[in-house]
Parts: sequence; C-alpha cells; structure tokens
Amino acid sequence: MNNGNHRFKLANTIRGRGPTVILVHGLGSSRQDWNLLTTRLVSAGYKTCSVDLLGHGDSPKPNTSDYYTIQSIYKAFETWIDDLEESGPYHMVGHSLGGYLSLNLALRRPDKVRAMTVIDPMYSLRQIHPILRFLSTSINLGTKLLPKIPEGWIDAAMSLDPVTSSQFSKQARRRIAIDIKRASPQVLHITRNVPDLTPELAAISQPCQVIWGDLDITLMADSFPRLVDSLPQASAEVIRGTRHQPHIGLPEILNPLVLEFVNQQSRII
Amino acid sequence: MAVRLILRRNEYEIKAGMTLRDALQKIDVQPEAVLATRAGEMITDDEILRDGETIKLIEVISGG
Repeated sequence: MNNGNHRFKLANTIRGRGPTVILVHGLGSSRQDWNLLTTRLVSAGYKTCSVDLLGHGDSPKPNTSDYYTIQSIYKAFETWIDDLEESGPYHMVGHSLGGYLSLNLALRRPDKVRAMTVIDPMYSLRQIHPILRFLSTSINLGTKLLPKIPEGWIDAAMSLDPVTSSQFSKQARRRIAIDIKRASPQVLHITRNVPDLTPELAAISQPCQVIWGDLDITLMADSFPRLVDSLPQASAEVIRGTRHQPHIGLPEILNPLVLEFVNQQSRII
Repeated sequence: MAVRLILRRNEYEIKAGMTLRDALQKIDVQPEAVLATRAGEMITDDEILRDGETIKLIEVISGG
C-alpha cells in the first residue's frame, strides 16, 4: 500500500482449492479466528484466504498512529485483495470491523465481491454501545495501558462474563488474549473516525447474509435489523444466547449457516 | 389492504388489524422462533399490524 511511501505486505493463510472465500477478522483479532470455518469450507471444496489486517496478528505494525485510520486499514486490505492470484469476484466473510471492510469493498469495488456473509458487522459508529463509546474517548490512555496489561488479565476478564465463559473454550480465550496483546495498541485509533455506511447501503447489490448474536453488547444487537432492512439483497439469522463473536463461541451453529449460504451463492453462479 | 410478512423466501399476506402474535399463529410460526422488524426496527408480539405494511421475520436459532 502507498501510505506515505510505505507498502505493507499483509500476512495471510491460503488453503484448499475451488471458488475463493475471503475471511476478514475484527478489531484486535487475527486470521486465527477462522481456523474452524476454513477447515469446514476447505472440506466442502472451497479455497480460503484469511488475512491479518494492518496492525494485527503477523501483519506489519507501523509505529505511528497515522496508519491506524479506517482509510489506511481499508487501503492495505484492498491492495492485498488486488494482489491475490485470482481476480475474483469472491465470497467475503467478515466479522465486526471485517464486516465493515467487506461492505466497503462491495461499495468501492463491486467487481471483487460476488456475495458476502457479515457476522455482527460494524457499519456505523452509532452501533457501538454507549459505555464503550464513552471509554473510546480515552483512546490515548488505552494505547498506553494495553501493552502493560498481562495476557492472563484479558483471559480473566472474559471469564467474568457468564455467556463468554460458558461458550469460549479455555484455548479460545487464551488465543483471543494473545491476539489482543500482539495487535498494535494503536489499533484502538481505528474506531476514532469511521464513516457511516448507512446512506450507501442501498447501493450494495450483492447478496448478503447477516448473522448476529442476540446478546451482542459490543455493537448493539438492535442495530443489525436496520442493516438488513437497508441492504437490497439481505438474508438474516439471529443466534440466540451469544454475544459479539458467535464464530468463536458457537462455531457448531454458525459455521453450517455460513457454509449453506456460500454453497447457495456458488450454485447460483 | 393487507399486511405482508416475509420469512426467508416465503411471503404471506394477512389481514391488517391483528397483533403480530396472532399473525404468526395464522402462518404457523412460533413467536420465539423469529424476530419481527418493521422498517428495520424490532417490534413486539402485541403490536397491531397496520394496512399496507411489510414485516420482515428473521429466523432465530437457538444457541447458548
């Protein structure tokens, strides 16, 4: 990517053969989020490409906060898409911030998106829970504190929520804590200024599957029906009793729903 | 005039003036199995359905 004079090479994992499915993680996560879903998709005859966004996982983590804007993150992601071996269009799967990037790609580069699945997706900052919105006013403090917080504390914090602790395995909680710690603390800046996609959603003509957990308190669960209503070709499923990361908490329920939709869209092509 | 209920690819027409709960019963859908929305806003079972409107029903899958 050209941001200043830099071009970043994002880390990715490519598996399998067949029609390509691209998987994009959320804020503070990594492509490891998709380990179970990619296994399922590859077994069903798809090629999967999962990426670590700029500042996340194994991707470069520039030191300056200038790179941690939604525009820079999107640009690096779009460049990564352009560099893929095949030209698309692809089936996109995006969670939260990854959902935002997938919707944005469908708007800016409709030639690249055949269909998409968005899981608890962000499309507007207004979806963020008011308490989190209030906390996000202290981003600078957060970026200073995050490197000092031990992994175990993040894991312990997840255990305090009965829903998360009952649905996330010990390994999943540990992996999430590791991903948060290895992401650049500057990623917190990304949500500082995110253009609202609401006025543009009606222009997305690709089929879109929207899935969310009815107990999502990171992005307010009642914001997702508005997304479904705004997208011309949306189908939706709500998973009862789970929060913001159903792909981690309840993969046995979520993954078959995604596969069914990907199959449906592949048959249509 | 009637009310349109949409569930996945199925469309149902029912008489206006009844509650969502009664409408769901008419089309044989359990109220707890769907989330009903009017223009993107969730509505409750006791809402009266109005002439000419479209209600989208979103499937709810049991999770945790």
